[in-house]
Amino acid sequence: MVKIFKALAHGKRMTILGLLKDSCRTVNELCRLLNMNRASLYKHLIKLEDAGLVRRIGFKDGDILYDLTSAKVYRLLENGAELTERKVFENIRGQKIVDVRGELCPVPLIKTEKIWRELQNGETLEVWTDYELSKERILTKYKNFVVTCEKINGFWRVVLRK
Amino acid sequence: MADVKVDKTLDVRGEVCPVPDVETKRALKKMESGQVLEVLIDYPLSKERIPANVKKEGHEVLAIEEIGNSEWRILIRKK
Repeated sequence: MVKIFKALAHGKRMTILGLLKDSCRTVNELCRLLNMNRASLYKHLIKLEDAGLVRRIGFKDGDILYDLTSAKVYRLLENGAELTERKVFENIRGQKIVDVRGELCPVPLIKTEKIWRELQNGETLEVWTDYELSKERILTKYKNFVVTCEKINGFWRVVLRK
Repeated sequence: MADVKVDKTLDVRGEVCPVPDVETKRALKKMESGQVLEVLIDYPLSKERIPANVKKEGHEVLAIEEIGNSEWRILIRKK
């Protein structure tokens, strides 16, 4: 258990796990998404592999393909994001705001997904994040629902309409 | 869910990520709105990801059934 939580207790490694939660990825893909070189990425992957959280599942495009080891790890990440304090409030017009400034990937995306599921059709949701990768992932995932995305005072304000 | 008429079956048992997820997306793209796709998988992570991803695309997940030892059947209605 200590080994698992030690491996988890790192921003970059949480980000790697967050990316693997969505899909298996090649080392090249992870390097590109994280803007990291292979050597640094491997250091983290080895720690995650040793803890039994990720594994090599094969090859794709001549590169090694990594995935989470099991659905248990998937749910661990989901539960972890739920455990962190839910910073959701409503503004004066009753619009839901998810304030995840200061949170690293995958927390902003997981929280957005959770509130999105509770949203009625036609309702809007505002996400505040200062983590660029999370902003990108939210925009990609909800590309058909984006109303606006603007940068204000060092964070992004993304408005989505269901 | 025995009374649901299945329009297309995608058997990706034996395949690992990303094949089941990609093939499901591809199959849905080719189908008509309202049709039902049955996906057979044995890769546990795809059982988590496929329902999450198709819901995000607006499709309806009708059922996720365990049909064997680490084998699942997912029924999806195209939006």
